[in-house]
Amino acid sequence: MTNTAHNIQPQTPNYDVIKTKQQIAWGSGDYSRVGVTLQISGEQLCEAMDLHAGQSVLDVAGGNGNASLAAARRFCKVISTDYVPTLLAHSQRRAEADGLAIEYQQADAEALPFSDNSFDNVISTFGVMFTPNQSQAASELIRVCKPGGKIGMANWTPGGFIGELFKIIGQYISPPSGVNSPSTWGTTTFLENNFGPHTAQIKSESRHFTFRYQSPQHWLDLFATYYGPLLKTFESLDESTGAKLSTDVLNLIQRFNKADDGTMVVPSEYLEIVAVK
Amino acid sequence: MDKKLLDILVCPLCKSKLTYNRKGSELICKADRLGFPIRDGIPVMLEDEARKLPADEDIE
Repeated sequence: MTNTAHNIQPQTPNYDVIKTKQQIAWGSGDYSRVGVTLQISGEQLCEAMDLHAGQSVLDVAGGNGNASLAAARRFCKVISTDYVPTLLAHSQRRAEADGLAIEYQQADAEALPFSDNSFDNVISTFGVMFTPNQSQAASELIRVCKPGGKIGMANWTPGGFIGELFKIIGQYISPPSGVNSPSTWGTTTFLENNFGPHTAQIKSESRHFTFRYQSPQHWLDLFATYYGPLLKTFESLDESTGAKLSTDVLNLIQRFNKADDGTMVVPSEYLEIVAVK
Repeated sequence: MDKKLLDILVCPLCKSKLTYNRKGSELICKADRLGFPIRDGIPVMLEDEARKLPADEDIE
């Protein structure tokens, strides 16, 4: 029952410890407050996957439910999972408000509680990309997908706005050694290595989600308050270092900002993936 | 517990089939002797949250 793979290489990170910390980070703040703005990416992914009514869909690390709700609106049979119960509860309230039937499970993306070949579609928008053991998570997505089924994802790219934000955060808090940046999932190389040998076809397309906020400071205030990973970073820094991080983030926003009226209009690149098993 | 859901649910660790213990509101993995709780109707399929079944507890 234990995962002996942890003991094979001395350099292997302690994924359990990392995951526990992550679970706390994502559970802190209130991700839903910022996550809900990303709804369009879930809708877009379901269209790119050409979901058909009645198909089964598993949303992995589904968070506050953007992709789950989008799939349920297309009359698919949806199971939504996440390891943060408060996010699932938020998703559940959204589904109830919209009169949508979604099943929920609290689950770890690296150890999914489903039989092999169970789902017509396995999806994740900005979710699975944050798991520490990336190849294990990739193999779980493939395992539970039916042969001929589809795996669909939306993953931030390294060079996009959020990818650059991760790099800045990494300058203030060292990521755990041996763990790749989440934006590795937004590269075709990663997909070819991890999905390639097990899938018949991989289509990926560069897309942009646009952050539209009242001002750069408005974005920073909301993300520093509600976005667990950024909140936790600020919490770990003293006041002057925190102020420096704020300046770096505001400079980054300025670099990407397309608005000239004081508001924020920042397109953030992500890779939309549809793989056929 | 929906029958179809139970058909595809497995232990997240050993991937063997689970049984539903209605009385305890748990999903039981006989192989690992773990009981996964169901809270507010949501199965919690995490190893850290599972109850280790004592050796003398009968599993049905």
